[in-house]
Amino acid sequence: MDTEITDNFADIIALAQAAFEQVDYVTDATPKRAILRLNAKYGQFRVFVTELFSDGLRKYRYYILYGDWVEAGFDNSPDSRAIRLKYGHIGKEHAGEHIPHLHQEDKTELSLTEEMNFTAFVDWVKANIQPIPH
Amino acid sequence: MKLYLGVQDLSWTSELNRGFIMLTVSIKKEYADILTTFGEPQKAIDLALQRYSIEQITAKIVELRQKEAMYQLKYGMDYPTFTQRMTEDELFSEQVEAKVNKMWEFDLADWEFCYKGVQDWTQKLQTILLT
Repeated sequence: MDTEITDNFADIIALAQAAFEQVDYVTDATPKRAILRLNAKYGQFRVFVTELFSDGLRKYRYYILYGDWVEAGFDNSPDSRAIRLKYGHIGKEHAGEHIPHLHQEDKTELSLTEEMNFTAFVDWVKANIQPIPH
Repeated sequence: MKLYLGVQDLSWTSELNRGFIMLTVSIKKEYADILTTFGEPQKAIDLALQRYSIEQITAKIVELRQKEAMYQLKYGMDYPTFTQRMTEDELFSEQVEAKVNKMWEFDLADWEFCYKGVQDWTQKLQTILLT
């Protein structure tokens, strides 16, 4: 695994362990790709994180759930609804384009965002979600 | 006992050591004696490393294929089709979230890692087998 990616994963794990509880994670790599899957608790909320470095892109998913309810989900997947929101239509010219966006209200609301990283996600969680004690 | 190994590394670019990096590893005397018995230790270690790498890569490919098959079964299609439909078909996205997995984005990332990972490791395996 590339040293830069290894360091990035280590930073995410360290920050998650400082910010959340019960942090569990796995990493895996191929000669060309690397992935981190992490989950944690934030009070009674559940945090799910995936970062995939593939084809020269950082593909991220940072979600926080209460039960099965998606409080907030930041990701840059090539979601057709994000493509429509950004361009006003869905077309071949935007197929597979990675668009940073945010899901809220159990994924019934979607908005476009700037590119996110895990540090910004943690800051967002701390600013917007009060952890409900166990 | 310590042996200096010339380990082939195709990404190494030094003109003097192209294709090799020098690592120092300790091995048990018992194994060193055996390697010496069977001939030149360097050749034996190269062969052992090649066999170990093939074994590890093969196991990795099997693991990734199993996960890939699990995702194919879960979503009822292969990775390229799923990616294309999620990108181009809003109704399909909504149906997946309602009936299969609300957080399909995580599966998509992992599925990509498995699908393309099989290709990555297969290429590496071919490289090793050809050297």
